[in-house]
This record gives sequence, structure tokens and C-alpha cells, in this order.
Amino acid sequence: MWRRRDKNKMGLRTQQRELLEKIEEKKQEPLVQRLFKTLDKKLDDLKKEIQGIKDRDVIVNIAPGSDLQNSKTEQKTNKGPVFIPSVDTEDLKVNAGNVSKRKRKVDVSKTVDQLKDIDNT
Amino acid sequence: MTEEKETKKTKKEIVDTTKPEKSRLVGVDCGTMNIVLAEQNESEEVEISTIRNMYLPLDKSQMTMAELSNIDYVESEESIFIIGEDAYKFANMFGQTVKRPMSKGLISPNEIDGIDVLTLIIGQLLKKTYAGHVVYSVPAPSIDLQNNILYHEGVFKRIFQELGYTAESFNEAMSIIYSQCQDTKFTGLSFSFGAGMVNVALAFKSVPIITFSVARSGDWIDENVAMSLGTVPNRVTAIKEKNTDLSNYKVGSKKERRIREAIVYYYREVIRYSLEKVTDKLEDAAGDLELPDSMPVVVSGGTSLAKGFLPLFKEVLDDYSEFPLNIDQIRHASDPLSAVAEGLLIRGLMRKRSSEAEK
Repeated sequence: MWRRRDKNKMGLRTQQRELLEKIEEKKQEPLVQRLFKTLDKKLDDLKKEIQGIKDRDVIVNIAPGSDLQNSKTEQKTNKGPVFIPSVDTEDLKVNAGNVSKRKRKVDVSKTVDQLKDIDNT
Repeated sequence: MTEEKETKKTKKEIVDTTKPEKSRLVGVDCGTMNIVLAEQNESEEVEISTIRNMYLPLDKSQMTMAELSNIDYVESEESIFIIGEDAYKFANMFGQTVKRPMSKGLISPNEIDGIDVLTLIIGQLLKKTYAGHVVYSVPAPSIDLQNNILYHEGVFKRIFQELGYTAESFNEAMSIIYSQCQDTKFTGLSFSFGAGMVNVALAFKSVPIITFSVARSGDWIDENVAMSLGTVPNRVTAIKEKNTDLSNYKVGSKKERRIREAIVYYYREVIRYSLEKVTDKLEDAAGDLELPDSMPVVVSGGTSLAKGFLPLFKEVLDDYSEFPLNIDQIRHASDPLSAVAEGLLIRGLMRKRSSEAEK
């Protein structure tokens, strides 16, 4: 005769199946669906950004007599340089940054003139 | 439409190494509580960008991805570091203390992850560049604390260089003289009441005569108020930054009133202590200095933003009979949060103009 077994005594496979079912159920929830949509959009944006960097056409005009003129980089650089900061944070990834911005009407150029005048006297 | 598309297609970016690239010039105030950037835009206005210099480490299990979707964070293998303003909000919600990459005006020696998080916070604020120049603030050595600014200065220089900028440092309080004392020909006594330190500069016609710092300022107020009343410092910071009137602390709930009362006492002490140290410094150098008959005092920095700060400063100065300078006016910087960054930008523009003239 079949008896419903205690959950704690269930086999691993049964527990795994139940968990997968629960995950599938969760996936259908509106909040999770929205989250997936946001993630997909972010992924698309990133792909576009990467493609943009790859596609950048750059004409490199090397100064006569410069070290670059004789280097091999001249032949292969028809794409823009990609900036990679070399900080000790390779294992970290960042999600945006909350920077607050505002504008101020200050004539800093006039202040620089005044400072130069003081310097000259 | 089609023509427009074609021009877009054929438009190519030209990198000409025979011509110098248009360089970005920014002033960055590296404060304990906020990092503030000033940059001149094409319409000759100054754009100010600010980010909170703090983070809150959380175990990954404490937050779900959905909860993190609108929050600024840095993720490592084991932890999540909420950064900027969000760290501050969450810490107050959970009753925790935020971590700071900097302490008492300098890179904190106690936070292992501090420099990495600081690098990312600055990266968010500055963005990478191919050619740029940063003038960044450094405090003067403290007279009441054993510290050395060399390491601090070097770490910031390295961070800016890794983001593609050349970097030069400039004294924090002197930057205030540059941005706020045009009317007195860059003569004055400036106080930068920051979170970690009070930086002081006495300048005559843009030449620094005395510069120093003391390690008692906003954080010292928060720590001591928290200790006196058995609460956490960032709870005190939140109350201090929200409608604190130093001339009237009897506002809000009973607990808030108690906190505000203590805040007033410690503010008063910070001002008195700074004035005492200016007096000591001037007495030490008395024989060598020829000072003008009178000069203005300019007060700046986030800690000076509390309502009633200027009247309190005047009150403490009036009580302090031994002060050796004749002060003709005491005024607030036009924007106490950005005065240092603007001064640094002015310094950068001046240097740029000088080097262009030399060429």
C-alpha cells in the first residue's frame, strides 16, 4: 500500500523535481517576468554598445617621425582604441552610479583672469 | 532622410596624432563624505556632479536580484556592496553603519575593500577618457593627529591615471580662497568644515601663508553625539542633515530633540577648537608674518550647511577674545558643497592658460 512519505525522507530526485516545478511556477509571476524583461533589455543595450565599439571606423594619421610610424600598430589600427582601466577590481561588477548633477552660473574664466593679474603684480 | 543616413554612414572618427586631442579638465574634491566634480561646459557654466563616498557590504543572501534592480551596487563573489546614496539610505533603514573608503579626510587604513570601491565610485563620477587632466584636493597635514598625506595623494593619483587622466593635487582650503575671494584679491582666511577634517588656509594675494587641518569635524560630531546618547553615528548624520537648526534644537520628537541639543554642543566645540588652533599657529609664526589690517573669513564644507551655522560661528568668534586677526566679515561660500571643486577647476584653468602662454 502507498503511503505519502515524509518530505524530509523524500529521495533527492523527487526533491529536485519539486524544486524545478516551483521555479517554473515562480517564473510565471508578473514581477519575475518584468525582471526578465529588464535584464533582456540591459543585455541588448550592452550588446549594442559592444558592437558600437567594434564598428568604430578610425582614420589614424601618424605624425611623421613619431615612434608609431615604424611600429606594427599602424597597419592594424583601423578600429578605435578600447579603454580598459587596469584597477584591482576585475572580480567586481558595477550596477550604475547615483551621481547627482546640477549647473551653476559662475564665471570661472573671469576669476582666472583676476588670478593671473595678481600673479603678474 | 536617405542623405542623412548616408552622411551618418560615411562620417568617420578621425584620430590625428599630429593634433592634440581636446582635453577634458576637471576639478575633483575628494571628500570623506562626498566626492564632488566641477567642469566648465561649452556655455561657460560650471557643471557640478556629486556622489556619496560610502558603501554598505551585504551578504548575497540578504538581498534578491529583484530588490537590487533599482539600487547602485558592486558585486563580488561573496558580497554585494551597495554604493553611494543608496548605501546611506539602506544603512539607516537597517540600523547599520555605512563603511567609508576614507576616514578623517584620508584613505581609511581600516577598510580592506575601501580602495577598490573608491576606484569604482570615482569611475562612476568621472567616466573614462583618452585625454584629461584632474586637479584634485588634498588636505593639509593635521596638527592634532599623526597622519601623512603622501599615501592618500599617491592612491588618488593612481586612480585618476588609470581612468586616463593626468593628475595634480592642490590644497583643499586654498581652493576655497581661489573660488570665493575674488573681491578681496584672493586674501582671506578660509575654513572647510568637511566630514573628516576642518581644513584651514590663510592666504594673502593668493599666496598661502598658513595651511593646516584638524581632525575634528562632522564625523567627530556624529561619533560623539552617538556615544553620548547611545545611538549609531549615521542616525545622527541623518538628523543633522535634515532640518537641523543650530539656533533652535527644540524641534521634533523627544529623542530627536536630545540628539539636536547634543549636536549644537559639539558644533560649538568644533568651531572653538578650530579657532584655537588658528590662534596657536599664528602665535607660532607671529614674528615672521606681516598680515593685512583686516581680512574676511569664508566658511565652507558640508558640515557648515546646518541652519544657523554662521550665527553660531560669529557667536563663538565673539566669545573668543584672544583671536589675533581683525575679521571684517564672516561669510558662507556661495555654494558650500562645490566651493572646493570650483577652486580646483580654477587652478586647473589657470595652469592650462600658463602652459599655453609658455608655448
